[in-house]
Amino acid sequence: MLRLLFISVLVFIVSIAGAQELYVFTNPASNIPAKAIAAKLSMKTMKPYHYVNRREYRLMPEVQIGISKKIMLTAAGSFSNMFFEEGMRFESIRLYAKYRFYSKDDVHKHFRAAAFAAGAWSNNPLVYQELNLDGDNSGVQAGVLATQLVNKFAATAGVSYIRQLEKKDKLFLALPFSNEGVQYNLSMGYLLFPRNYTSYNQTNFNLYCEFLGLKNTDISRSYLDIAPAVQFIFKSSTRLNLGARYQLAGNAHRMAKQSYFISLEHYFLNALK
Amino acid sequence: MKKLLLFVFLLSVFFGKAQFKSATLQASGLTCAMCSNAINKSLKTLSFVEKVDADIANSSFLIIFKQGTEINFDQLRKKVEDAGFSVAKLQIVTVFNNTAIENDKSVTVEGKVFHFLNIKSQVLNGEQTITIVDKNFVPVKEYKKFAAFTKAESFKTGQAQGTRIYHVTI
Repeated sequence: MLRLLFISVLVFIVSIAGAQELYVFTNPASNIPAKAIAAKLSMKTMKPYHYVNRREYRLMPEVQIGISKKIMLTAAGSFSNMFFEEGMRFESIRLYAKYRFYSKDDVHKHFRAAAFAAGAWSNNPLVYQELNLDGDNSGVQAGVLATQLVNKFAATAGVSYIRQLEKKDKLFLALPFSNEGVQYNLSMGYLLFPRNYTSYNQTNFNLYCEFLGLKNTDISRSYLDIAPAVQFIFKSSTRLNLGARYQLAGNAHRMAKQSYFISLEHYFLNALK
Repeated sequence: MKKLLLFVFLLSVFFGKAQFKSATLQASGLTCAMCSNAINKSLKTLSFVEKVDADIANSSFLIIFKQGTEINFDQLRKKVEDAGFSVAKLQIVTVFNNTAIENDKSVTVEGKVFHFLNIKSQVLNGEQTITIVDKNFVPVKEYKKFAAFTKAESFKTGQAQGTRIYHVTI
């Protein structure tokens, strides 16, 4: 793990020269094109701490819609065998809206800022102090994002408030649950290949490194993860993402301190009239 | 005889007509092929666009217009913006036929009103490239630079008495 951390940091030091902002774990301030629809299928897997050797999976289908150049909507669902379930079952739905309120473009450069709001319903019980709307919690979230792209390098900073809405301790765990927190991220991406563009059919290869954190605001808990990822873009419209999250620091009660992530995403441009 | 005269008249109208042939559009705010592809596909949805050739590395697009169709430069800009980006430069290759132009004056070409800025008075013939310098067709800095060349109110609004005025230079 240390070696991985070292390599990812090294890659970023070497490569602060020049894209990309199509992050694997978070969103940039930019939106998908107006009238476009993106379909995404993600899978997250981890070995939860409360079993000796069991791997759990979450499947997350998602649809994104470009309403206008400034507004995009996302609807997602999740299925998993997490939260002490024997088999895969339907778990949650999530709605997400993002509004790009600032955009300054230059050739091979941009700075953008956006605000987002999300809401999720999940049938999972309250177990962990990690709060997220990816399937774990019913809750609401709102925040801001800023993205700077320069040549082949992009960086995004985001901060948001998240609140979970489950009131009952359904499993009688009698743990100090958290209701709210501040989520933050610093995400960086770099376009490694192709070095020179000649056609839309060239496969693009992007490297990512994200720092993903949560600070519970009602109890004194937190975590900070490092999340390296790689991305292949085929025919300028299909993305394959592979990533991992490792906890760097923190004391929050979580399902697992490391997890792996794979997703496939396709853009249907001009899908809406 | 009448028919022949009509034919000659139509011929002269046809050859005497100015024509928009193609445009070179440079977009800003992107570096990757996926973004470029979004602009490319967006431009191709326009009914007056025959063909788009993309130069991905320079975020530049060569747009060939369909002849005999109504061409709308604002629509080109809107399509780039819908894809999530901006226009940095839009140059239009136009075939002129004895069109006299003067600095800071408007002239109608193919049904479009062009207001020429920062040019010498001349008569345009044959293929010429004109560059639109209106707001959101060039970077803000460039737009401000051209504001110094005219006092025309239309440069701020893009319109005069409800008619779209394109401010251009050579």
